[in-house]
Amino acid sequence: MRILLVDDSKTMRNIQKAVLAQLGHTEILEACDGQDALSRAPAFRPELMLVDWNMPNMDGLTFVKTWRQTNKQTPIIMVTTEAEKSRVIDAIKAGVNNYVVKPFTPDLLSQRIQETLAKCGASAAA
Amino acid sequence: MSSSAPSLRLELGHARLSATLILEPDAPTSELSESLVVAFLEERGLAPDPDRLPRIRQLLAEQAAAPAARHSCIVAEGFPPKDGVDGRFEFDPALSEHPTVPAPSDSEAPAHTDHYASRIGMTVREGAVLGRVIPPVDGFDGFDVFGNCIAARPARPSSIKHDDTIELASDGRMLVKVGGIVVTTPGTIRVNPTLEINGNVDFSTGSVDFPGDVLVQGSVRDCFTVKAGRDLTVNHLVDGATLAATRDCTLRHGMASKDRHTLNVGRHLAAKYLSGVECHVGGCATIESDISHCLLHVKGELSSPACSVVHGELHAGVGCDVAELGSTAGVETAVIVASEDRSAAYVERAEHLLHLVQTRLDRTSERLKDLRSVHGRMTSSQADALTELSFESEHLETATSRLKQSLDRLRGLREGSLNIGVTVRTAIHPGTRISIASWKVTFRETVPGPVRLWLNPSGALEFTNPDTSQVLPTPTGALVEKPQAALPPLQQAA
Repeated sequence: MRILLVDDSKTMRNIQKAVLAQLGHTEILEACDGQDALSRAPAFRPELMLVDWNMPNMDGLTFVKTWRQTNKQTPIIMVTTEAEKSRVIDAIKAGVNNYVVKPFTPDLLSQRIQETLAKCGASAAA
Repeated sequence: MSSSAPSLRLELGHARLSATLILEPDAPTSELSESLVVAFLEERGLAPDPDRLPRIRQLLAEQAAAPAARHSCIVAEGFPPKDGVDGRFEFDPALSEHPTVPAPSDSEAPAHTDHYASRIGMTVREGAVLGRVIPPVDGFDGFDVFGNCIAARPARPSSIKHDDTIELASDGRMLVKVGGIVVTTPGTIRVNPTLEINGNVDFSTGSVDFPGDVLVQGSVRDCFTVKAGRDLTVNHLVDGATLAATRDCTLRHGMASKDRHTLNVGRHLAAKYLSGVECHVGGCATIESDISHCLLHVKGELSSPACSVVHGELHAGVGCDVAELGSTAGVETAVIVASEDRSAAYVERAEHLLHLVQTRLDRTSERLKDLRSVHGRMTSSQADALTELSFESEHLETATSRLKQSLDRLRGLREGSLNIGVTVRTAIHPGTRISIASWKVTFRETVPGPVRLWLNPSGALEFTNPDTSQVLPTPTGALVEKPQAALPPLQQAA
């Protein structure tokens, strides 16, 4: 499965990669902000995206909105410190499928990824 | 076969594949007409043929021109069937070059003939392609001059049978599952994993390089080589030959060589005696009576309580148990045990690594505790840091637990290796040198047995009685050299 990680922190991307590797996913592309992700994603054709909210150049919310204009299917998980209810609703409205609030544990991230894949897989099948 | 009217006759060829119309000499020309002949042939049941009429006209014209002669022409032809081609097995062409050497002619042997070359037959290694099963090719039916079908013989698949030493792949390749010698009988093929040589390995067999077990009922003669992919057993003497077994080797008699021929054994060796041999054993060795003038390397233990070791060098990884070392004549005999023991260094390294990981884990836990005690809403960078630290903490805890397990195992191994030693049942003679790890003992006088030299748990060399475990004083005829840096005691490592 092709997975795109969008986060300006290299350490955070490494952590996410480690969790994904434990789940057996190794086909991973990294982008350091929304703009970088928009330039790389079309060629990579991700099947799952983990996106941070606060990033330089283009934030995660803008990226999700832009991406959803052309692609409605790719499951997107927002990984962020923005935990306020209004912010979460903004993200969901923009087209995010699931939400992980930092700080998170490896188990929580792993659980959210599996949840999202199961839900999106089921809806795609339906 | 023929059928006829008064002046017309129809002759059928083999399998009714052709029909020839014959006009007898002096046939009444007035009676013969094209329609009569056609009616004659139709009456005989020949299959219709548009090309027939011109031939009939030609025949009648010839008959009219020379009525006294006999005229004939083929008026119908069938089509022969093509039989199917049965499936068959073909050996891989590469194997035909394998040394399946028949006995050469005695009189005309060329000068370069290798008389030591193998003559044991076609041997194959595991995974090799033995050959290919060629599938049957269907033929097609024919028909005779009456339009009847002549059935072609159907093609049959290859009837070759094989046992589980060979695997038939879906593409028809026959793959060798067990290395050995190829045995064929009519309709069957298999690989025998055991090569049994009923006589000696000599000029009649040539040298042997066999991927499976080798059993030599006779002897192995000078200058021949026997290599076994698995176990090797020789029931009689081995002269100055070269032997190699990937797994166990049993020499029911012994091996005597003048020129230090080699014996390489992957696992265990059992032999009656060894003389003048350079021998490498991957596992343990048991020699019944004598080891003389040998260079013997045994990775495991040499367990030969009735064996005398005279002259040469004996290296044993774990230890040895023999009857006698050296001889009263004072010949140089060296026994080196556990020279490659590096367990102490590994334990030390693992302890250092554990210390580093533990320190880092403590530091991480402390920072985690600080961050978790932050009151109110966390900043973005604090949340990032907390996530990173919890990942690092989990990773370090896993590493610590694995390191502790490895360290326990290493300590266990080291404890085992400290129990190494040399046991001599009868006597250690002058001229004998024994090295255990870094300790060296040179014997200047005969020391009677039973005696055991070993490293006690604190890493020091001790002489004991192997039967009672009683510690003995260092014999006066034994010169003990202490190592410069002995292994640290176990208590310190713990």
